[in-house]
Amino acid sequence: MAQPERTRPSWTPPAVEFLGAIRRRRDRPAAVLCALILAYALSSVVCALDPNTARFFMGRFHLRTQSFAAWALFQPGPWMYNFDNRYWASRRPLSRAELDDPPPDVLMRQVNHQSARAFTFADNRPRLLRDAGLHYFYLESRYRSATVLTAYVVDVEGGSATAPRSATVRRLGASDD
Amino acid sequence: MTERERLQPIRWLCAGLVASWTWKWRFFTGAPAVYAHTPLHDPFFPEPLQNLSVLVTAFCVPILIAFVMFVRPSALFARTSMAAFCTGSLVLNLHQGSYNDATFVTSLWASLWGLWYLHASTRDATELGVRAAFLAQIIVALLFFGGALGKLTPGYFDGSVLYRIYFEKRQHWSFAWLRGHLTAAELRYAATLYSRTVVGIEIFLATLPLWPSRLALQLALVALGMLVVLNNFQLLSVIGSLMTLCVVGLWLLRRAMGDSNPRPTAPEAVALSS
Repeated sequence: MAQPERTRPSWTPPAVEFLGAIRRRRDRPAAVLCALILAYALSSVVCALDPNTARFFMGRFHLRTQSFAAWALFQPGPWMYNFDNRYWASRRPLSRAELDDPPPDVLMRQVNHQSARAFTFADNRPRLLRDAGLHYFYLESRYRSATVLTAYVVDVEGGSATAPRSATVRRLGASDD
Repeated sequence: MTERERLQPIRWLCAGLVASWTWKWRFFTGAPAVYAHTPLHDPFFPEPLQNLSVLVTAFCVPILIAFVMFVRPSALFARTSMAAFCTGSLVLNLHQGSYNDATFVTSLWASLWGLWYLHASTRDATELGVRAAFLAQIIVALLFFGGALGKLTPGYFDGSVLYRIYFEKRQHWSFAWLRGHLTAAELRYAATLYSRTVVGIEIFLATLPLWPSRLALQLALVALGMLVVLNNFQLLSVIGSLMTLCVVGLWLLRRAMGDSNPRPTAPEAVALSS
């Protein structure tokens, strides 16, 4: 007597199942969302492979992208905990030697991302911009063979610990390797 | 599917988004006072994106609408709530006072998923679970894919980056315990191992789209939970939206499986048991 043919349950990769489902259901919004995700994933791959693209993405963390629109375009991308980022805060301009071996009056911090947070973010402003006058910030990001360094000066005017004051940011310069 | 059941994932997503946004409530209630006391004029940001009122509005309006959605769940409030979270996340992603908080990156993607879900479930609910779960998988995978590639640099291989960020001074229980039990050299070595493990976990999370959906979302939940418990409880504000997306994806998958294997009717059940 012939044995009944045993069929093994087949497994379809979820990506294949998903693509079939969006094609059958003509789910255009899902296709658009997928395309967006792919585009951002691709930008991460290009950043990993091309030093110039890596410099562009590190420059984003230093708020020195040529146009705000170009910076904004990549803000929804996966930039969390990217690159080796540091900043130095000082009341006077610093030389490269002082960045490499910071003297006691210079604050050096390692940050996870968005190095310009040193002076833009609320947790640092009361501490690092407490006194009126010029405050110098040096931001450095490294990724494999690429390095980006940016210098800023923040001019704090008037006010006191309680009275309102105003601060103006100016970029002093940048150097890339 | 009833209207209430259809909106259930959006209610959960709203709850997850509100929890994520308010997790660091101490920071967000204190930050406006700092920004008002020392406004920073930076020509890089357009004027409206340096304005404190824009920041407060973009943060508060989506939360208020989400509360309305909890009290009176309806398709209109669900759409409005997701659109508000999407717009709010986008503004907060670009605002001078909040652009560096990844909370608004993850909430942007989660709310985009919510808008897609509301559109898809109205038009054609067939195979909804498959599509919803896979979209959740690739959103989680994207964020960790970028994270993993961004760490392929000597500072993460030798552990020096995470050593300086977490191991040196961070008061989180895991790092405080390690500092109390290891010598300086052992602590440095632990940072190297830890850093490589984090990159490994991120590479694994980047492969989520290759795994069966249910297993992928379950593993993602465990990995995301571990990141919060071992690293930093503040991370929950960033991870919360993604964890909610995984939970909602799992719920929709379970529903989809229930629909494709309907429970036997009473006569069928009697026949099966005899």
